[in-house]
Order: sequence, then C-alpha cells, then structure tokens
Amino acid sequence: MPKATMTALDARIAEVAGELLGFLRRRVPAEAEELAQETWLRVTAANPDTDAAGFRAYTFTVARRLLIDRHRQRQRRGPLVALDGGLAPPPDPTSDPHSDAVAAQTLAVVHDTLAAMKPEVAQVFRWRTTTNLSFKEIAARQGCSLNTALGRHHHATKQLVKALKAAGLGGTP
Amino acid sequence: MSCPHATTTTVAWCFGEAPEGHLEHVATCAECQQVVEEQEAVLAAVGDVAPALRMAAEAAPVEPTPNAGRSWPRVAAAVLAFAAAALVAVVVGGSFAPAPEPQQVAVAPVDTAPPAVALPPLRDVDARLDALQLELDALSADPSIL
Repeated sequence: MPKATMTALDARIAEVAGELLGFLRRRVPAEAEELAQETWLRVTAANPDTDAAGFRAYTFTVARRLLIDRHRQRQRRGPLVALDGGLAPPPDPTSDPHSDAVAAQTLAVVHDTLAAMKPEVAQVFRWRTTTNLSFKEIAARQGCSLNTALGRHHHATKQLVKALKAAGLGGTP
Repeated sequence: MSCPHATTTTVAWCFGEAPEGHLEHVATCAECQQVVEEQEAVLAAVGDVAPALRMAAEAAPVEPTPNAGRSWPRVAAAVLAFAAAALVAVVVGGSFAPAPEPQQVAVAPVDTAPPAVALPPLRDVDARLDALQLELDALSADPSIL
C-alpha cells in the first residue's frame, strides 16, 4: 500500500504484522495466516486508542485469545494418544514418531502433575479441558463459588506451566 | 498477583465465559496478559493429549462433592460445643473445688446443638473463605509475593 494512502491504523498494523505472523507460525504453522487475518479484523474493528506499546499488547492479546479458541477446537477433535497401548487407536502410518513421543511425554507430565495436585484443583482443570462444562457448572458440581473454581483452574495452569517447562515441553508463554 | 481479575475474570475470559469487553482490561494489565499467555501455552501443550486426558478422567471420575470444603459449620459447632463444655466444667469445678472426682462432672456432648450464638450469614463466610482460598492458591503459585 502506498504510504500516502496509509491510515494511522495501517501504519500501526504494518509495524507489528511481521512479528505477529512469526509468533503465530511458531504456534500453528498451518493456520498462521488465517489467524493473523482474523486478528487484524478484530483489531481494525476495535481500533484501540493507545500508544505503540499498547497497540502491540492489544494485538497480541487478541491473537492469544484466538489461539486459545483454536487449541480448544483442536482438543475437541484431536487425535488419541495413550501412555499404554490399551487406549490407543490403531497406529497411523502417516504419524510422526517424534511427535507421538512428545505427545506421550506431555501426557505423562500432565498426568503426574495433576495427580500431585489437590483433587478438587485437578478436577477443575480436567473438566474444563476435556468437557464442555462451563466454570459455572463446574463450580456447581464442586459445591464451591465460581471464583473458587476459576482460582483452582488458574492454580492448576500455573503448576502445569512450571512442570512442562521443567520437562522441556513448551509451556513457555 | 495484585490484579483481582487475574485469577478470576481473566481466566473466564480465556474460555469465552466473561464479557468480550474484558479484552480492554487484559490488553493493559501485565498480570492478566501473563495469565492469558499461560493459558494459551498450556492449552497448546495439552491439545494433542486432551482426548487421552478425557478418557482417563472418564475411567476414574471423581464424584461431585457438594459443599466440598464446607465443613466449617460442623467445625464451628464442635468448637462452640467444646467451649460450652469447658465453660460448664470451669463453673462447676470452681463452685465445688476441690472436686474429688472431676471426671464425673457433666459435660455437654459434642454432638448436641451448639448454643445460640449469632453467626455471620453463611454467604458472607463462604465469600470470605473463598477469598482466603484464592489468596492461598495465589501464594502457593507465586510465593515471591510474600
């Protein structure tokens, strides 16, 4: 786009666009372009009134939220990975052994970390991650307040980030 | 953690359970941004293993525990009953001291109804307990804030 016709918003987007695309490519290579487009659509619609640093923070917050949505969609239709052969589907000839090994290791770390937590804390994480239960529904099932359920999920997430990082399995924001 | 939203609204927002307008706050709050980053990082890592987690959770479900962690009314009743019993023991013991057989002093059983003492409304106590729980969780997660 010729500079003369660029709006202030265009100029701001141009400053962050490359960094955003790189960020998304590292996380979801196949969907990076699409997510970047969706991010810019939302940022353009909001046109946040901030300085350059604030604009960048706003943009990456939108992108991360879209990534979360994408991860959750993937979880609902993701492949099966099991620690033992019992739960696993027949081997996929196109699967990548390294990815499978990483997934199995990740599952072991997640399983062990959750097992070490207070049961009610691990339960919130399991339910919110593997079911469609909302935090309100989880709170009702656990007989606690909504804030307690949210706090438990936050605590579980912190512990998992730490464990995954320690195992060299991502978890690094 | 000092932002009150970091362990509550922002977590809900990550899952689409808080108003979308919360984005305006998250985008300007370093603590909440960190929360979003952590949620994203964990969900990215867990994504491929979620079905296995689901199967494990289904294989060994934890039964819902209504009022889990809400044993305080029973504890409070027991404490009050014990205090009442101790008071009776002191009064009776003081009146007839030296009591030759203090073990025969009538002591109110623990499982009797507690004396009529004005307790704060259940919801207030629950809210305070929840707040304490959140603080404990935050301290456990990040002891450096001490």
